[in-house]
Amino acid sequence: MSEGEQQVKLVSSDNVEILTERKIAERSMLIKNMIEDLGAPGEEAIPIMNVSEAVLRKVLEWCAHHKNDPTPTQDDDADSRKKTTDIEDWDQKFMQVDQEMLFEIILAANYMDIKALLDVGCKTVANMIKSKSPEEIRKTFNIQNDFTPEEEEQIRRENEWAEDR
Amino acid sequence: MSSLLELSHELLHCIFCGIEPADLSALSRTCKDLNSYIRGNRLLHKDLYMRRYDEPRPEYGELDWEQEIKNLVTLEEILESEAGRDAKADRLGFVAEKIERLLETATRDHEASLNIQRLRAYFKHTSNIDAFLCASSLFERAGNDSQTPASTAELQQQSAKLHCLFGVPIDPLPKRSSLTFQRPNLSLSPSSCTRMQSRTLPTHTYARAKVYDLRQYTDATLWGPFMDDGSQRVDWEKVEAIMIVLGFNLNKFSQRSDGRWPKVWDQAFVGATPNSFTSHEPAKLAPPKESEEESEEISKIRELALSLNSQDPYGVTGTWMRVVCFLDYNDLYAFNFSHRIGAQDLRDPIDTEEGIIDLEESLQVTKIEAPGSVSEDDEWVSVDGDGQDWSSFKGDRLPVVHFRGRSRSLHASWDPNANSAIRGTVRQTASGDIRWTTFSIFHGEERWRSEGIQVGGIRSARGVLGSWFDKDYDMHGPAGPTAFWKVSDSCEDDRNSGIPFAYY
Amino acid sequence: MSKAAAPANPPPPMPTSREDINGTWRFLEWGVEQIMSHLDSGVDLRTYMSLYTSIHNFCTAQKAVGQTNLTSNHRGAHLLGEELYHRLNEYLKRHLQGVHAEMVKHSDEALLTYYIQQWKRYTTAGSYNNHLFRYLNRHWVKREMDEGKKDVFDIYTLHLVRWKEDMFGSTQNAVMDAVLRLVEKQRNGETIEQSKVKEVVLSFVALGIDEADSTKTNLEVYRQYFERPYIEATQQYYKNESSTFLAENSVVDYMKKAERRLDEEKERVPLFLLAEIMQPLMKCCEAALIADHAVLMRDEFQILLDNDREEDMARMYKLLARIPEGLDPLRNRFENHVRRAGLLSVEKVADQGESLDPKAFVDALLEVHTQYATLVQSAFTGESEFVRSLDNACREYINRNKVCAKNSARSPQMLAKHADNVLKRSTKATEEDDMEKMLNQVMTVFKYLEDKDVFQKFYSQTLAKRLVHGTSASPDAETSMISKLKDASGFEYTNKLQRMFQDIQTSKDLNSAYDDWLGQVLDKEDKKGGIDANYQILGTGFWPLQPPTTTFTPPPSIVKTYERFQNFYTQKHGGRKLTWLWHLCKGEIRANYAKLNKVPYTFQVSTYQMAILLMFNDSDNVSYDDMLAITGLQKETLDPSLGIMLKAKVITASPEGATPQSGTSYNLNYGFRNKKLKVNLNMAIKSEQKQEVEDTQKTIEEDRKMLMQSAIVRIMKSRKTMKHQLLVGETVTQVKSRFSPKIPDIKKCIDILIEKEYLERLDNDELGYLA
Repeated sequence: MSEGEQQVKLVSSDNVEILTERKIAERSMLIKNMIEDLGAPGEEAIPIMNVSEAVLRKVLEWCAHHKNDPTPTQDDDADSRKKTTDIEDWDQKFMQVDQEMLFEIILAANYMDIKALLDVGCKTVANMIKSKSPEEIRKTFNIQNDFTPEEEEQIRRENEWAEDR
Repeated sequence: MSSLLELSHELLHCIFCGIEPADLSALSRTCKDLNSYIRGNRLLHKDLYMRRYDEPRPEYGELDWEQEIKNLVTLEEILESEAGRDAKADRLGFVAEKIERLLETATRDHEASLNIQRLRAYFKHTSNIDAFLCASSLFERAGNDSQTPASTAELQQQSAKLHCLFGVPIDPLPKRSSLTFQRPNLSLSPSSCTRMQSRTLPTHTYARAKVYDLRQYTDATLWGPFMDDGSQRVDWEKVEAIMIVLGFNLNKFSQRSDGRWPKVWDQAFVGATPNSFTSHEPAKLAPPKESEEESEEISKIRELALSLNSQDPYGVTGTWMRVVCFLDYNDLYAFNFSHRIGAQDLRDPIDTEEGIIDLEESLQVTKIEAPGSVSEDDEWVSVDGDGQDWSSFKGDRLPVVHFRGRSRSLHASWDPNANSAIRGTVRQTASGDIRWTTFSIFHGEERWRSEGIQVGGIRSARGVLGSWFDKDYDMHGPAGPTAFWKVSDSCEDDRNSGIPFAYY
Repeated sequence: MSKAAAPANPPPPMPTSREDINGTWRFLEWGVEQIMSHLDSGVDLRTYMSLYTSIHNFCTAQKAVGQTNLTSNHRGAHLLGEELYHRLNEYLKRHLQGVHAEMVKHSDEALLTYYIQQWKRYTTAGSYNNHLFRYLNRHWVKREMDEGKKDVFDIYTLHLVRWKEDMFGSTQNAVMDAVLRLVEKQRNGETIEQSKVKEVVLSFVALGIDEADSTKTNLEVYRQYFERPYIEATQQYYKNESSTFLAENSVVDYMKKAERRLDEEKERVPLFLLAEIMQPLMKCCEAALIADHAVLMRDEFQILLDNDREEDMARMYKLLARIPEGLDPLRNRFENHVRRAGLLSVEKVADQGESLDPKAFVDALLEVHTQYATLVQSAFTGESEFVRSLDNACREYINRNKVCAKNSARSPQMLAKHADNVLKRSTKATEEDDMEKMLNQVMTVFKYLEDKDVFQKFYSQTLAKRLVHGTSASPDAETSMISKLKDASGFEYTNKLQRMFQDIQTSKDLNSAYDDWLGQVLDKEDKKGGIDANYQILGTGFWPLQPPTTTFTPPPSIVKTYERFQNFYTQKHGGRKLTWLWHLCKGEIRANYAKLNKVPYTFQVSTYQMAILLMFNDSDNVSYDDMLAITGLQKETLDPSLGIMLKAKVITASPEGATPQSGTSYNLNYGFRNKKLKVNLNMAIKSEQKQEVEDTQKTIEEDRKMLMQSAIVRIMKSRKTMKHQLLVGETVTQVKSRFSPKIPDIKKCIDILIEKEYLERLDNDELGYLA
């Protein structure tokens, strides 16, 4: 059995053990670095302290699909500025979840250090914002309008440069 | 319960970097939290800017990214809008200013420049072309119905400048079929016949009437493309007319040369940015020869030349291509002096075919003087300073660079006007434009002079547009348009003789 | 490791509140200390994950919600983590203080051991911490660095920065001293633990943090604190060693030692140094081992040369080649040496004076060249500058030596003569390979000749003779030689030679065509009276031949024969005029009156002699006056032609011994006796030969004038005007491949051209071209 096909055991915050391929788990830089430092954990379970079972399974689903993607290098980080906001089809479907799950995935990706998943999540949210009026945004994200009418008027005037929305 | 507002700042940043600049406004109007997160968030605005536009070179310092984003959102909305020419024309001043800025901050390589790609896309639309590029006073008479002058002289100047930066003359050649159509057709009714004949002439005929009008060549305009108030401010309408005339001639010349003379000025906004010139050949002076003929004196001159080049901010040394056009003197004389017209009247459009000379010039810096130095060539300036108002100038002033060189004809070496020595100066005007003065020297005697302005600013690939005239300012001419642009940092003469210019 | 013995501290509780910096740090400090000091006892999964998670939780504590009251300059842009970073920084400072206190207790190799051990422990922990603090790295640190903060680093680099500032600065001197002592031991022949030096090198390299961009490293620290002292020590070591060694040993032995030392130092680099040191290290070794003793070595060079110590010269070359300008003095000495050897070699054969054998002369030239060309290849690796020195020397002694002291044309003339001897048919047949070899030798000398035009003149004369007289050894050898000359000096140089060669070929074809023609045209009667004849048609202008200097009436018996040919030729090539070069013609005559063993003798004679002898067909006694009248020859030619026949006793004078003059008459000698059946009476006349040489000399001068004038006109045609001085210079460069012109001659030519109105004098010493 090659290193990548080894099984590793993860434990979610709600104490559920999930068995997965090491290669899949190592999409997470957190887990990859940990294995690099401490060696393969064998039977011992790796506590993923901030992620619940449901979210962890979802994250691992994504990692399994992308397990053969090239690992990102340091340079890709610097280039992210020029990246497009396009999302590939599979990821788009993957992200068709309720909003709470969407944000949970983003938080988990951030915690587990899975940059590509974090990017997909952020882009998904960004696309939900694009070309919307303030009221539409509020509705989408369930945001309370906490401006007083005076404040609202003032802010509208400040933003006249992009008036026609 | 996870929600947008529950996210930490780094995650919000990551998300908001994926939206369009235009969405920021709506987002900041949703609630106090987001409003406070976005307002004054320099990094967010900066990252959004960088995703969409070229990163300005360090010499521009830290910008007010929030303001920049606001301006550019507005600019893009204007350029994108489906509104007609008239609605857009009202925004000419704003648009011209912002486009100039986008060009100034574009990266040198136009292929890689986001700014230029974006602008080129916008200026495929006729409404933008008509509203912003065709609104100088030239379009009082020239152009089509939707090309009309802007309301003020200042706006007309801005439009002319934008047209020059755009760089592809807006002067569609009449198609052959339409030419035939123009011929009076006897089968048409008399009235339609008249209408056909009164159809507008191509824009270049009006531009030519402006360029060859000798009344434009006065001491106040320095006989060049400057305002007639002695201020040395550029008269962009003159530059525009020169560009249209030369563009028309070059295009025709290129077609006739079977591709030997490559097409120029056919790509929008290319070379209209500072420092956009890049040489395919590295600058080099020939290595010192081993022969004893290479005296110490010559090697000193060579060293001096190298150090001058490194101090020259304008990138003079190298090989340049120049084009000079002229009207046959009989035509020029007839056009200007055959009948009297009022001082304010414009001359009739003229379609007479001009002569064209292509030259290759090798230039070499010979002397660098402190900013504002006055040379003996500037007879009209008063004794104190260079006669310009520098009060509103910002930043470090650039030096005055003197150069010498040689000019040889590319297609008519027999022409006595083709091969000559060249000398001249480059300097910066009080409004920051790069002004070039050259003299053509035949057998040791200076004969023609030229005054020009570098379009796109310092070291631009587009080069210099201007006029040529008798160095003794003969009010009866001849005079005409000229342009030159750099092709290489290395000099033809370096490669051949290895003797520095100063030796000639 | 005193701390390892202490019992591991029990962990403090994992922080429960995300914003609690003190609680968070208490937990983290315990963890970091575990990793720093007790990594050998291991870190478990849960601890690892807890540490990472507590950092993550602390950094993500801040929410957009409820932060509206943040100070405006931090608004929106604020990220958490600064506090953690600073506390870690302080921790590292404290930690290193402890290590430093321990470090100063050690010295020398023990210090090295301790330094390396601590470095490894510390940097391993650093990379662990870098992973644990990755969330901080990803966000807070990255943001600070993007913002241009120069004093914030990623966590691993922070470890290095601390080591550099809190440890390195005060210990590197002692560490480096220990390293240098270790290396000195190795140079002195002891075995050392090389890996220690290597570890120190790697540590110094790792500390080279680029100030402009801390994510990058450079070699600054290594260069300053390792490379520089290392090189200084090396230089000092070899400075001492070399002067001690030279005081007791010979230069030759020293060179062997230096060579060995240089090899050793080079081999040391890949063992424990960075490849980057190679260049400066070699430079320093070369300075100490070679440059400092270069004068001594060069002085030895002459001795080595005189004694043909090839191997030692090769060693010296290799050593001196390594230092700048090391070889120049060697080359000068070498050049002088070769020139002297060449002159000496020529002097040995020069005593033979006029009768000098061309082969001996050429051999003398070649001997020296061969010897030193071989040396250049074997000892100086055929280096081009040495080749140039050799060439300079050879050019000198070949063009200016005792033999050609009075007459500079002598060298090219002798060489041409030698070439003639080689190419002429001789008694012993030459093998093809030998021939090629000898021709190559001729070319070797030829390449050095300055007056190549002189050689050309003489060569073309001898070639003409070989061709006309059919004395050439082999046409292949002739073509080979011509093509060698063409390769060396160009088409123009050999154009005429080639044409001459072609003429001979064409003549052969012509003769056989003529024979065919004769077969068709002649009847039996005609054939009977005919003479077998062979013709050569030589194009005027290509051949260095003059028309006969004497008048001549050909004997009637051959007139018919050659007129027939003339008819044939005019038919074929109308319009061409044939001039008979009687003085070059020859024939054979059978003496039916005198026989050896019943076979008549055959005389090989010139056409003139033929005319004389044929007169004896009519009478056994012919008077001198009749001879003059009937042959039409002038006295100057008639007399020597007779002379040879008198000497060979073919005819006898009457009265006996009378000089050729009116009143003398000649008898056919019926009692002629000779050992051979074929008797050659057609011998060159001495005075003619001498005349020839003088004529050649004259034509050379004429040709040179033409060459210079045409060069001048060519230059002026393109330049239109030119300074006198520059024109002379330009002319020299243009004709120099043919001969080395004299400046006054060029000036004379310019004057002639001014006279001929090709040029005009302008002001300022300028000349103008008149079209």
